[in-house]
Parts: sequence; C-alpha cells; structure tokens
Amino acid sequence: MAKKHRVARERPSAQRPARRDQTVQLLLEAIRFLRRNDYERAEKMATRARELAAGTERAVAQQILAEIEFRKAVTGAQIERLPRLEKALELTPDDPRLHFHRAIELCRMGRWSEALADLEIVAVREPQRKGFAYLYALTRLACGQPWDERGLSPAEANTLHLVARLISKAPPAPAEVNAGPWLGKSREMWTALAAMRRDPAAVPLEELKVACSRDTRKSVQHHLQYIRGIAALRQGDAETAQQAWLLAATSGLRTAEFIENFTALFRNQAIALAEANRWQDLVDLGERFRGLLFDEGTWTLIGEAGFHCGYAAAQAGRWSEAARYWREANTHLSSRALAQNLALAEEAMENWLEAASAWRDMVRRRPRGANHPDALSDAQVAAIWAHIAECYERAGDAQETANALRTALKYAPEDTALRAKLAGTLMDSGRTSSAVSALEKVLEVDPRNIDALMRLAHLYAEEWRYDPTPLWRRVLEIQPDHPEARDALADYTIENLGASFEGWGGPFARPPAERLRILREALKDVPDHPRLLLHIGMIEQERGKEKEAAEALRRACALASQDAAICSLALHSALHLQDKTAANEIFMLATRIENLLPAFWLHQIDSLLQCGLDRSWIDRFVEAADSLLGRPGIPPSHGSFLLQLYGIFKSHEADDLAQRVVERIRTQFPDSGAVEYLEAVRVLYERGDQKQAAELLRRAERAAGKTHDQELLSMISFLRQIVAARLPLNQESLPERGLALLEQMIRSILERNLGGLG
Amino acid sequence: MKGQQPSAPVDPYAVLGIPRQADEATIKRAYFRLVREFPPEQAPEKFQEIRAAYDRIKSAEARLQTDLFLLQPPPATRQRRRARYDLQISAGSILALALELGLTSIEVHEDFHEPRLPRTP
Repeated sequence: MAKKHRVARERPSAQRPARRDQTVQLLLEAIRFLRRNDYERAEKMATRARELAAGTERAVAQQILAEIEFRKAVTGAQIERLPRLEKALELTPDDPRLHFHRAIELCRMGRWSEALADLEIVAVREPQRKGFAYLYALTRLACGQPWDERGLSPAEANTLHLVARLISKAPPAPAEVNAGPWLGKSREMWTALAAMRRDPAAVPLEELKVACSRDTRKSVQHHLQYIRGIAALRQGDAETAQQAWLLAATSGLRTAEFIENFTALFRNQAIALAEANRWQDLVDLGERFRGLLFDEGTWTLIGEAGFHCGYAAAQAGRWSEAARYWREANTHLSSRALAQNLALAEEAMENWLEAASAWRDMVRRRPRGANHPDALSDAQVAAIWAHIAECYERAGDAQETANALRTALKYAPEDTALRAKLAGTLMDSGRTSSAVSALEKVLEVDPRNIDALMRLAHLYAEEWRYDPTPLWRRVLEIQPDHPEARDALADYTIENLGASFEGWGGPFARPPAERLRILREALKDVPDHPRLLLHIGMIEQERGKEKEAAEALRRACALASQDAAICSLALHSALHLQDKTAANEIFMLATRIENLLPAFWLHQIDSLLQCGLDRSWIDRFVEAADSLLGRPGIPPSHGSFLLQLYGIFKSHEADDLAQRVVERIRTQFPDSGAVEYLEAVRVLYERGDQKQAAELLRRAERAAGKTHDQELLSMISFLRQIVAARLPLNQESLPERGLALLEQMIRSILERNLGGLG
Repeated sequence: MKGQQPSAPVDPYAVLGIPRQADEATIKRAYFRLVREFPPEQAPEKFQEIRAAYDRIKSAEARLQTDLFLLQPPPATRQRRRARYDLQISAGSILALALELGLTSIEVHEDFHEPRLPRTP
C-alpha cells in the first residue's frame, strides 16, 4: 500500500520538470518571434505555453499575448484598435500603458468620459508617462471638469486655454488669438478656427490652405482637411470640399460628424449627376469613393448609372465595355434586369460560366409574389434554367448542366424535351443508369417520344443486359421509315449474329443456317435493308448456295447502289461465285457510284489477289480506276496510282503483273516522277546505294512537283526519311526489306483513301 | 424551351418600332403598317424580318419568353431627397484636433515591451 502511494506521488513529480522545460522553451520561442515581429507564431507559442503552464510561467504567457495584442492594436487599422486593447487589458488588467492607449482611442471616438476613467488609473500608477499630462488635462476639459497646468509645456498649456475658449459659448475673434506658442505649426489654423466658430458664415479658406500646407502630419492633416471642406461648402464649393474630404478620408478620418457630412456630400453630388443624366460622371464619382463610404442609396444610384452606361455600350455592340459596367453595377444594384443584361453580355463574349452565374442572379432576383407585376411564371423560370444549362454545357461542365436541367424540371416536370436533354447530358458524362431513368420518365409521360426511344435503345445497346430491339421496333411502329431506327436494328442484328468476319469459323460461331434465320427475322422488321441482304448473300455464298447468294447480293446493291461499302463487299462476295452474271451486274453498279475514288478499285484488286480469285477481273478494275483518274483535285495521279498498284502486285508476288505496271509507267507516264521513284527503290534495296537513291528521289520530287502530285510527293518524302536515316543495310535482306517497307507505305495510303470501306 | 441567340440579340420591338410596353393592339397595328410598307413581293428579306419579330411577340405567352432573353432598358431614376450638411465647427472637432496635436509627441514604439522570463531557481 505504501509503495502504491509512493508511486502515485512520484509520477507527477517526475513529469513536472519536463513539462516546465517545455513551457519555458515555448515562452522563449514566443519571445524570439515577438522580437522579430512575427506575431502569428509568437501567439501560437504563447497560447500553447499558457495551456501547459501555471503560476509565473502562465503570467509571462499572458504578458506575451497582451503584448502581441497591444502591438497589433497600435500599428493596425483604426477599427481594430479598441477591441485589441480591450483584449490585452483582459490579459493584463493592471498595465497602465494599456489604459493610456485605450484612453487615446476612446478620446478619438469622442468617448471622453470613458477615457477619463482609464486616465485616472494612469494618474495613480504612471503619472510621469510621456504625453499623459496633456491628454489628462484635455480629457478633463472635454468632460467639463477643472484641469491644471501641472506637467504641461507652455505650448500645451497655451493650446488648452485657447481650446477652452474656442469650445465655449463665446469663442474668441481671430484677432484675439495670441502669438503662441501653440501646438501645431501655424497661427493661421487657430485664427481660422476662431473665425469659423464665431461666425457660421465665415470662409477662411486662405488661412486653412496655409495651415494644411504647413502641418502635413497625417493625423493633424485629416482634421484640417475636414475643416477646409466645411469652409468650402459654406461658399457652395462642392468640388473643393470633395477634394479635401477625400484626402481626410483616405488618411483615416472616421469621426461620426465627418462621415455624416461626407456621406451627404457624396449623396448630393450623385443626385445632381443623376438628375443631369451624367451617367459616366456618376460612375467616375463611384470610382473615387470606392471603399470609403457605405451609403446604400447612393451606391444604388451609382449602380443605376453603370446600368445606363452599359446599356449605351451594348446598343452600340460594345459588349466587353457593357459587361465591365454591368459587372461593377451588379455589385451595387440588385436588379433582375441588370443581371439579365449582364448575362447577355457575357454570352456575347462567350464567357459561358460567367453568363450562367449572371442568369442565376437574374432568376434569384425575381419577385416571388405571384401577383407582382414582374413575377415570372413557372414556364419562364424553367426556360431560364434550361438556358443556364446551355451555358454550362458550352462551358463543358456536365455536372452543372445536369443540375441546371434538374432545377428546370422542377418548374416544368412534364417537359419531355427538357428531360430528354437531361438524359443526353447524363449519357455524355457516362452516368448511364441516371440517363436510363431520365429516359424512362420521358416515356412514362410520352410513350411515343421517338427521341427518347432512340436514346434509350442506344443505352441498352451499350449494355449487354438489355435488349434494345423492342425499342427500335416501337420507333418503327410509330414511323416505319425512320432511317436511324432501321439502320440501328439491322446493324445490331448483324453485330450480334455471334460471328464476325474473322470469327466465322470459330468454335462458338452460330451455324450459318441459324444466322440466316436471325437475319431473315430482322428483315421482317426492316424490310429491304441492304446490309441485312448483303450479309444474307455472304452467308449463302459461304454455304455454297450460289443462286440465293447472287440474288441477295444483287438486291443489296440495287437497294444501296450508291453505298460504296456495300457494293465493295457484295462485289467481292460475288467474285467467289461461279455465276459471273451477278458479279458483272454488281461491277456495273459500282462503276456508277458517284464520287468514287480509284482506291476503291485498288482495294478490290488487293482483296481479289488475297483470296486467289479470277485474275481476269484485274484489267477491268484497273480500267474502271483509270476512268476515275485525272480529275482535278482528286487523288491520286496516274503515276502514284500505278505505283500503288505496283506495290499491291509485288506484295502478292504477282511479278508479271508488276512488270506490266512498270512498262506502263515508262511508256505512258515517263515524266511523272514515278520512273525515278521506282529506280530509287531499286538502287536502294538491291544495291544499297543511298547516295544514288537520294539523287533519284530529288529528280522524282522535281517531276512530281511540276504536276502537283501530292500523293507521289508524300511517297517520296516517306522514302527519303528512310534514306536519310542511313539504316544499316544488310545486303542479303535488302530486297525483302525494301518490299516490306513499300508495302507498308502503300497499305497506309490505301487505308487513308478507303476510310471505312472494308 | 431554348433561349434566344444572345450574341446577336435582335430586338423585335425595335424591328416593329414600338416601345417595350406596347399593348397587343399597338403591336398588331405596327406589324400591319410595316407589312403594307414592305410587302413580301417587293422586300422579301425585310418582310421576313418583320414577320419573325411579330411572331416573337404576337401572343402574350411568346412575348413573355422573348422578353426573358432581350436586353432590358435601364429603369427610370426615381427622385431622391438631397441630404443636409452640418457646417458648424463643433466643439468635438476642435477637441479632436487638439488631441491629435498632443499625440504627435508620442511614439508608440517606445511603448513596446519584451516580457521576461523569471529566473529559474
């Protein structure tokens, strides 16, 4: 038991020194920061120390915190001084220095009797304090109490005697002001004051001008400027008064009397300018008074002036200027019309987020009473929110777009267009389930809404869990020839046949008969759809059903006679058939496709060689391509076309055909640059002579440049990069590598020209 | 539900030459007067412009929606009462000046103290 007690006593005693060390350390740190005027960190340390400390250390922490408050008070903004001094006094209530400074601030606020209470404390504790005797005597004078000259300098005593006379009911005449010494730097100041106190109409502007120029100390200057402003106004000179009072205000004068007069001046000047429709001058007046006065009525008037100036600018199409005026006006004037104009100006400059914000202001400022003449109907509010959504959409903010649309829907819950728009936004931002829900709500209200059905079907098509086909069928029931629904239903059926081109032989592919059944079923929904017929034809061809295949392919092409992709696949499939009639018919149809590019036929040749089909078609394809060449602005030229053809033949090892192409280039297009190009390829890859290849390419480029053959120029550029790269050329592999590169280049050109044809 | 195109806000009231506050009859009269002046056979483009402007404000409902997306003219400035000055030099002003004159001799930085830690035993 005894041991237990000993342990219990020992624990705090063991901890105490460490804790004290920590407190002392914190206090030292706080003092160090205080010395560096780093009040924030000093305060943090001292506060922490105060929490830990007791007794003397705690008192020191309080002193540090009081010191920080004191320093912040006397060096900071006037408005913060008194609260800070009071906070400091709460921490160290016996400090006469704090009472003295609080008295000063109370005097400045005209609270003389409260100041006197503080000064009485100083009189007991620190009567010799510098400046105390004068402040004490002045405060007693202000409170109507007797004062004496103890501790005052002759100038201070003389000044107080004059002040006593000036504030009395019988102020002295200017001539009665003696020669001093006075506090202050000019006799003119005192004579002017005497004149103005004695005669309410006196205007001693000259004396005040001299006084202001002689005593430029800030704290004195602002009082003198105030008095100068009063003198100016006595003779109706508002301009001089404004100038003087602006100086007084910017140097910190904040007496109630001054604020009242200054506000009156501000308001009267603003009213005069508004009555004269001098809107720009009124805006300028606001600029001069910004941050100095808070007279709500006058600032509203200045906001109206900005409204006028902005309107004039907007009428002249100067939107940026209009927006500048209205942005500023919007900070003073809570007007729905102003916010509306600002929104329009921001939109004109394509500041979409700012426009949205202004529209929000506009809608927020609407009068809420239904009987108010400016009240907005629910439909109008919904229209504004829909417009806000558009602004956010243009700014690319999908989240806010959706939010704005939801708000719009609160005011127009039956508006299916809005709800569909919301669904679209949700779809675009990948929020599929919310989009589905929004579209389902649209369909609840309007089951025949084609747009919603199509969007919902699109979402279903992307999700493997839902079947979109019933939705497309509903669209086709409403509008049987709806092109997007027809295409979507056909394409979805084809895509989901369970076999792609590559996967037809795969273990999971549906058998051809099953695929045919699905396609024929789909044809009932979308009769005569060419893509369905094309796929039926291809599957029949695969099954060896020549007649059925030919018929389907023919019909597909006849229904989509201008569709190069369908004709391309149909023609290739027809070439697989023994029956040449179908291929012939489709070939003839393809030759009549408008704006067909020669690359179409290159692709046919490439596919034909790939599948080892009847080569007798090649000449017909080349002939068809030839008929398309040479049209102005349509690539390729004869030269580059033949080079591409050459590349295709070489890649399929059809050397005899390739040789025929070379002969044709040499005889028919010797100046195209293609001859030099082919020669460059040969010397580069057969002999590895990069120098000669480069020379040949230069010649090829000159020739191609003359005919503006961009296709050939790009082929030359491609080959030149290979030459310039000076690749380590292995003699043995050169021809193969050359061919591989050539093929790669030709394939890239083909792909570029064919687009999505395959 | 879509708002008007703001970058080119055509004011239908301006096209018809009528004030914003015009009543329905005034709108109609202005429209027919302009149509007689600019018949579609002689001035098809101007007629289109007039027709489009009329369509936007011919019904009360359409007009409400149109007005939402038009520039609004500034409100008429209401009469305000001028404030009165007090041009007396008050005793307070003189005392305040006398106070500042006396305080110019005080240097606040001289009043900054640095608290000291008590000596550790």
